Amino acid sequence: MKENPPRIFLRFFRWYCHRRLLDHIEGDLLEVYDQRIKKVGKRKADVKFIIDVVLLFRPSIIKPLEGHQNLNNYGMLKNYFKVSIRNILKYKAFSFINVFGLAVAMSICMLIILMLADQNRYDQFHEKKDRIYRILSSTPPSRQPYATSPYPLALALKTEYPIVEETVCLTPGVGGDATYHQRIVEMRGYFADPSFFHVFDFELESGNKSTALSEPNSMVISSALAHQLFNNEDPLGKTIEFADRQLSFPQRFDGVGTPPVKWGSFTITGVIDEKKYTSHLQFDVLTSSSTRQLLYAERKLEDFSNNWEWYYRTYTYVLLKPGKHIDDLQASLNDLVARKCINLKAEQVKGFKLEPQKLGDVQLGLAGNDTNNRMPMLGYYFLIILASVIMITACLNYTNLSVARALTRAKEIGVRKVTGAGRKSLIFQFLCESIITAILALVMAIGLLTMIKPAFKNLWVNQYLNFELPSSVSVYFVFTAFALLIGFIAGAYPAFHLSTFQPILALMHLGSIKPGKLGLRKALSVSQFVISLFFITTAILIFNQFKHFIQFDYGFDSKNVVNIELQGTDYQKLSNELSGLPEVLDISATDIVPATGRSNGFQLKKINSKEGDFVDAYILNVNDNFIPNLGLKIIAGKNLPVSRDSTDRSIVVNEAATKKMGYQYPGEIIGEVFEGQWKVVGVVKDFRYNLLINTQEIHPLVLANQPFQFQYLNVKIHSSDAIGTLAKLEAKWKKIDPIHPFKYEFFDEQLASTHKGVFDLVSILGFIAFLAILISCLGLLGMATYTAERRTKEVGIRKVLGAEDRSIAILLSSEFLKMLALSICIGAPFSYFVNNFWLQYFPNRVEFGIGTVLLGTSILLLLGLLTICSQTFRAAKRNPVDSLKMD
Amino acid sequence: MSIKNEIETRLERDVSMGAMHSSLIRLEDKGYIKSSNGEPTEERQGRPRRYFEITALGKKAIAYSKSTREELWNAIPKVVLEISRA
Repeated sequence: MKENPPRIFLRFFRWYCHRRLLDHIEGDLLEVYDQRIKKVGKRKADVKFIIDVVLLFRPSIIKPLEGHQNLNNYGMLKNYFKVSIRNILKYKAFSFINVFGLAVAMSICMLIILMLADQNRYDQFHEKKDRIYRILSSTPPSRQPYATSPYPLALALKTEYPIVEETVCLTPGVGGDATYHQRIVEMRGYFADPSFFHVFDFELESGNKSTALSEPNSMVISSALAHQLFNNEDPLGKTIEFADRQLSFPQRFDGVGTPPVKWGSFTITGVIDEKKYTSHLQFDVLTSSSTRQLLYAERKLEDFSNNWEWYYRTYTYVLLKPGKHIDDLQASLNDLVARKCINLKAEQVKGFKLEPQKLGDVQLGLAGNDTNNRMPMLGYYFLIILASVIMITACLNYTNLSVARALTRAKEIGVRKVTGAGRKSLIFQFLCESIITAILALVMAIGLLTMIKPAFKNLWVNQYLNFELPSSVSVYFVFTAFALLIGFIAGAYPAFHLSTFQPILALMHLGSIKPGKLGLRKALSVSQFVISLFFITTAILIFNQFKHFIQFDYGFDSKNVVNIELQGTDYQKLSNELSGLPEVLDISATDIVPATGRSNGFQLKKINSKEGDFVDAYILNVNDNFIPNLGLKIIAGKNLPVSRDSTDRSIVVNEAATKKMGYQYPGEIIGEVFEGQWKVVGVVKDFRYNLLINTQEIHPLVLANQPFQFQYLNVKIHSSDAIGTLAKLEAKWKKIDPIHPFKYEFFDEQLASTHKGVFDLVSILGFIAFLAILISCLGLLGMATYTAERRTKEVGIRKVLGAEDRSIAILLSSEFLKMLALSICIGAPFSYFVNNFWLQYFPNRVEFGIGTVLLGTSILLLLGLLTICSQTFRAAKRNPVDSLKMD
Repeated sequence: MSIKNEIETRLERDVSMGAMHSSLIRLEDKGYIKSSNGEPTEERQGRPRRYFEITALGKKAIAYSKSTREELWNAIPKVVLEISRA
C-alpha cells in the first residue's frame, strides 16, 4: 500500500500554495517523501515532510491574498459608499433623526470612556509600576478591603521574603503648622521611608533623592508650600519649626484639629513639584520615618511598630523583584498572616487577610481608608448601565426606522439580487450605510461632548473626584472604534432582515411586503417608552426627595447663623470680641456642626446595671448658650450650666435618650446620675443632628459643656446686611488671630450643601431622562412621518370621498396611540414598584404616590401626542389634489 | 527533483525544497529559465514532473556572472592567498 504523508500538512500546503505552482511542487514533495520512506522510514520521513512544508511557506510561493476574480472589489465598495451617502441625503429627516439620536447617546458613552481614561492616567509615570503593589487588609465583615495595613508589615516583608525588592510604608499623621521667620503655613502629609524615592518615581526639584528621607527630622515639601513658606529663598537646608495639630489626612476634612503640640525643628531636604504628577498619593510634606522614633521617645506619638492588630493607619507599598508574580506575593502574605496574626486574640483580626493590589489598579479600585476621594467602581457600573440604556434606545431607533423603510428599499434589493448580488454583499451594503451614519454621529457626538464636559465638571461631586477629562489621541481611537461598533450593532438587524427578501417577490408584489414585522417594531417602541417613563418618574421622585430634604424641619433654627471655625483660638476670647458688634444677636459654641455629616459617639450606662448594658448615644459638646441660640426647646429640667472648668459633669439629653434609657416621661430622668458621674439636668425636644440621608431615626444624644472641645462658634446675626456684618466679623477675627484666615459658613447653606449629592443625582437622572424621551420621541416622529407619507394617497382618496381632517388624523395616529397606551400600561406600574422598592430603604423619604407616576405619565403622553399629532394633522390637512394629481 | 539530488550529492549539503523552488521561481520570473510540464509518474502520485530549460538570456547571464567572478578571482594577488594559506 502506498504510504501517505501527514494529511493535515498536505492540506495546509495545498491551501497556501500558489495555484500555478501547486501541482509540480506537490509532486516533488511526494516524490521526496517516497524516497525518504525507503531510506529512513515513515516516522522520520513524516517529520522531514512537515519541515519541508513549513519551509515552503514563503512569500514567493504563497498565493496572493485575493484572487483575480476579486479585482473589481474597489468599484463595488465605491458603489456601496455612494449608494449609502445618497440614501442618507435623500431621506434627510430620517438620517437626521438617526444621526442625532446616535450622537446624543454616543456622547454620553464617550463621557464615560473619558472618565475611565482620566482615571487610567494616574500613576503612569512610575517606571517600575508593573512591579509595585499596594497591600490591602480585609476582614470578613466588611465587604470593602482597607487600603491600609499593619505598621510592621513593610519591614517584615522586606527582611523575611526574598521576592520583595523593596517596601515603602507611608503613615499619615503629619498635619499642623510650620513656622519659618514668622511665616506660618498649614501642611499635611506622610511619614515616609527613605525607600520612597526608590520605589516611586517622584523627582525632586532640589535636594538629593537618596538621602532626603534618611535622617530624622527631615522633610520634603511641595513646591507650592516652599513658595508660601520661603518665598524666593532657597528652601534647601532651612530649618522650620513644626507644631502638630492632628489635622485630618489624607481625607481632608475641614476639621480644626487639636491644640498644637510642638514637634521641634525640621530640616528641609527636598522640594517636590507635586503639580507635575497625577498620582493617587497627594501630600504637602513627607517626613522621614526615623523621626517617629524621636517622637515615640517624647511620647508625642503612639508606637505601633510592633502592633499587628491596628491596620488602619499605614499604607504599605511593595516593589517585587523583576520576574516575580502577584501570586508569589499573595502566597508570602498568606504565610505572613498565618505566622504573625495567629497569636492575636483580638476580634478584629479574625479571618484577617492581606491582599496585593497592582499600582495600576489602585485608581479604579477604591478601598476603605483610601488616600484620596475617587469614584468607586460601582459608580462606573451605574453610569455605564444608564449610558447603555440610552445607547440601546438610540440603536433601536435606527433599527426601527430602517426596518420600517424596508418597503422603499425592497425594489432596490430586488434589482440588486437579480443582477447577481449575493446576500453577503447586501448585508455588507447595509452595514456600510449604518457605519457611515455612526461616523456622522461620532462627529456630532464629539461636538456635543465639548458641551457636556464642562457641565459635568461643574457638578458638585467633581470637587471631590477631580475629573479633568483631557482628551488624547488614544481616546479618539477608542471613540472611533466605539462608533464602528455602534454602527455595526445598529445596522445588524436591518442588514440581515432586508437581505433575506426574495427578489421575485420584492419586484412583483411590492404591496404584499409588510414593512417589517409590526409586532417586533411595536415591541421596540414600547420598550423605549417604558424606559423613558421609568426615567422620568425616577427623576421627578428624586427631585421631590431633594426638595423634601431642603425644606426639612431639623427641629432647630439655622437661619442667619454663621458658623466660624475656631482653628485653635480660644472661644471665650473670640466670643467676647464678637459680641461687642451690634449686628451680632447671640453667640454659642460647639465642637461639631450638627447635621452636616460628622458625629462623635458616646455611651450612657446606668450605675449598677449589668455589664455591657450600654446605650449607644452621640455627644455634642456645646456651651450653655447653644440651646437658646439654635431655638431648641427644653421640655424638662433646665439648660446646661455656665461651666468654667472641666469638673462639671452636667448633661442635657434628648427625648430619644430618655425613652432609650427606659423612662416614660422626660421629667423622670432629671437628676439621674449615669456612670462617669454624668448628671442629667435637662431634656431637649428631639432635633436632627445626623445627616438626613443616613438615618431616619433620631438617636439618643447627649449635650455636655466641655469648653476644651469647642471648634466652632455659632454667631447669630441680623439678616439685613449680611456682607457688611461678615466684613466686621472678619476684622474682629484678624485682631485675635492674624495668622489663620477667617473661615466661616452660613448654617442654612451648610445644611443645604449636604444634599448636593442628591441634587447631582437629580441632574444626572433628569438629563438621562430627557435624552431617553428625546430619542424615543424622535423615533416616534420618524415612524409617524413615514406612515403619513406612505398613506398620502389613501388620505387623498378618503378626503375626496368626504372624510374630515379629524377622522383622518385619528385614523393615522390610532396605531401610535395604542402603542403609547400600552407602554404606559406597562411602564407606570413598573416604575411605581421599582421606585417604591428602593425608596423603602431610604431614610427620611418623601411620600411617593400615584401623583408622581401620573405626572411622569402625563409628561410622556403630552410629548408623545405632540409628536404624533404634528405629523398626522399635517398629513390630514393637505390638499387631496396635491397627492392625487401625480398618478 | 534531480536538481535537488544534484546539489545534495555534488555540494554535499542539504537544500530545502522551499529555498530551491523560490529561487527557481525568481529565475523564471527574470526570464533566465523556462519550464514545461512532463509526464505524470506513479511515485509522484499522478503529479506531472516539471522540466527546466535555460534560455538564451539565461546563458548570457550565467556567462556574464562567471566572467565577473573570474575577473574578481584574478584580481586577488597570489601573495594574499599564500599568506593566508601559511
